[in-house]
Amino acid sequence: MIRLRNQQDFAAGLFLMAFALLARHFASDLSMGRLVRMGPGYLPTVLSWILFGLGVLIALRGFVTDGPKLESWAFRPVIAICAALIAFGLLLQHAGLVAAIVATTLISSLAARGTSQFAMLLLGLGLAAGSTALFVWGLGLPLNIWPELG
Amino acid sequence: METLFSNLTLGFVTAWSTDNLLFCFVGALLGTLIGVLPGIGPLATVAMLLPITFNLPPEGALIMLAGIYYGAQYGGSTTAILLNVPGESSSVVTALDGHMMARQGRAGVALAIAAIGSFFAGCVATVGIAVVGPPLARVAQQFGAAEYFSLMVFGLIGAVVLASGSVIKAIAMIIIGLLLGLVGQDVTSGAARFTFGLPELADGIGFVAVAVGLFGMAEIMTNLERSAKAPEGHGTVMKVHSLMPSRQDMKDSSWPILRGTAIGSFLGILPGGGSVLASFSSYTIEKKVAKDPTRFGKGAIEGVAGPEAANNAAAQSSFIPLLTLGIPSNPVMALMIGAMTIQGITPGPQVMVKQPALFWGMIASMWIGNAMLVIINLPLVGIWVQLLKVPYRYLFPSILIFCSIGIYSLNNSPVDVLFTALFGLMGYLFVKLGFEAAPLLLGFILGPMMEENLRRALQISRGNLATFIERPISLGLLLAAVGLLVLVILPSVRRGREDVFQE
Repeated sequence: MIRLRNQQDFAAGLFLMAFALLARHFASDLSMGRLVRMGPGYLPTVLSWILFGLGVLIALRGFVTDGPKLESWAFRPVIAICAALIAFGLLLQHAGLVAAIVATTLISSLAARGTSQFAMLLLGLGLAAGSTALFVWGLGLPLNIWPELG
Repeated sequence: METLFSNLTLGFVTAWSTDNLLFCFVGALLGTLIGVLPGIGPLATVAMLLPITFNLPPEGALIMLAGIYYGAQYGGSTTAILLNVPGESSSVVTALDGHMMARQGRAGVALAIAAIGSFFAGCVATVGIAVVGPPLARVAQQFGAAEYFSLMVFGLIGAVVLASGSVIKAIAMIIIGLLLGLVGQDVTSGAARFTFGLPELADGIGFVAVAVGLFGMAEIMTNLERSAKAPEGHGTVMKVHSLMPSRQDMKDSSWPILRGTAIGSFLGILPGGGSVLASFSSYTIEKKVAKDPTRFGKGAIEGVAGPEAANNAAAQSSFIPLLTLGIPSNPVMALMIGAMTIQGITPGPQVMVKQPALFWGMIASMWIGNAMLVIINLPLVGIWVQLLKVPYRYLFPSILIFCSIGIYSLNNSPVDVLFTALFGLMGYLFVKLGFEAAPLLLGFILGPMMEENLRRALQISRGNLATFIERPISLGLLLAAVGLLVLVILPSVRRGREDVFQE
């Protein structure tokens, strides 16, 4: 009977195949050219086929070798860290450095359970003050400190 | 010999300017500061601190980065000794005997021996670079496009074979890296590749966003996941009493340091070699030559001195392929290539010829950086100990903020920060799927260079693929790459390799 013995490899193989197909799809409009004068699509196409092949091999290996099961995801830190970075990127230009830092600190603190929001607010304000002094006044980076008005 | 001397003199004159000394100092200090934090290895440290160097002049930036690298490595050893939490794989070995020494109240001696061993290894390896560099660069200047392409293939395969983990999965990571490296406008045809109509992607994906996301952010995520499972499992930080090693300690360590330096200097040059392999090999050898091998793992000073020297020698000599061939032998060197490119320097043999002050200044600063580590670390051990007591929940938001500011200010582009989030997510996915992200970074850096050389080689040969095997140097490099792959697939070697990485 065929049994999946290495979930991790199987999933990894599927991921590679999907990545390869996506790359192949987005490279399909690019001209291939010939070996003597390669077009922009040549290498991406070749690479995505190789990647697809490797994906198939790794996925098949999931049936013949024993390996780890898929681990569960810790969504809390992953989402909090990504959200914190996104907030920083979106806020910095218009809301200014101080607001961006305080928001990023508060959001990122959600990654760990049981942190006091008040302590995090203090940390955020401290980081904002320190960063303003170091990066804006010290290194002279062109960053808005306060929200842009109007 | 005379040119060697005049070259080194030029280097020291460059590195000895007030600015550059300051950059070196700040780099070593910051590197140690971040590297000391448990769970953050040199790769993540360099990735996270990269952005702060970008506003500096080229010499200053590279000198500072080299300082950060050594500092991070030394910081990792400090954590390993005091806390038994190796920040990265090359200090796993240090933790074995170093932490046992700390438990016996000899933490200070272990730290001091680590610093002395590293400093000695650093001195030797610096001279090594100065001796080996110029002839190797002259060889490299003869290389044509075909040779460069084959050299990169060899470098990538070597990096995969000598790294831990599944070989086939590592190759897949390289391919993904190569594909990501091709994003942006094609240099030859001007066609936009994988840009999804975003103007921000025309110049390719920001390499800092890739590096910080894959290594820094993904590492923070996994650290948080781990600490949620074992709340505040910080362990106890060992006390540091006396720093001075006794005369007997010095006598016991001197041979291990010498041997470690030799092994490390050699292994560091190999693709994929770097510090991990060096410290493991040194530990194995010390255990073999010891009169009483049972002492190892119970606080043998040789088990700290040898690997620490090897580790630092390798860190240093891995600059040789970078500076002479323009090929990164490990992911940290890939980051250095990225940093050089941003500074407008094309890594390769011409750096030595065209910018001798930069080249030799950097080499001299390696030595100065090592000296500074001894000066910074031993008196400041108390501060590092305090830092180890700060709870992680206050540390990681601070790291996150500094990274974000750095990434943003590189191009004043919020998109880069968003990409960091994306690559952080990707890095976490890789951890869960059992992929190592380091080969991806090598592929990402080498992707555009490989394509260019491949195209040029084939244009010269009129589309004849045989050019890669008709040219002797190119053939030799390709055969070496195939040989490495065959070796690693052979079961006996595979077993040995697993032993090395498991011990």
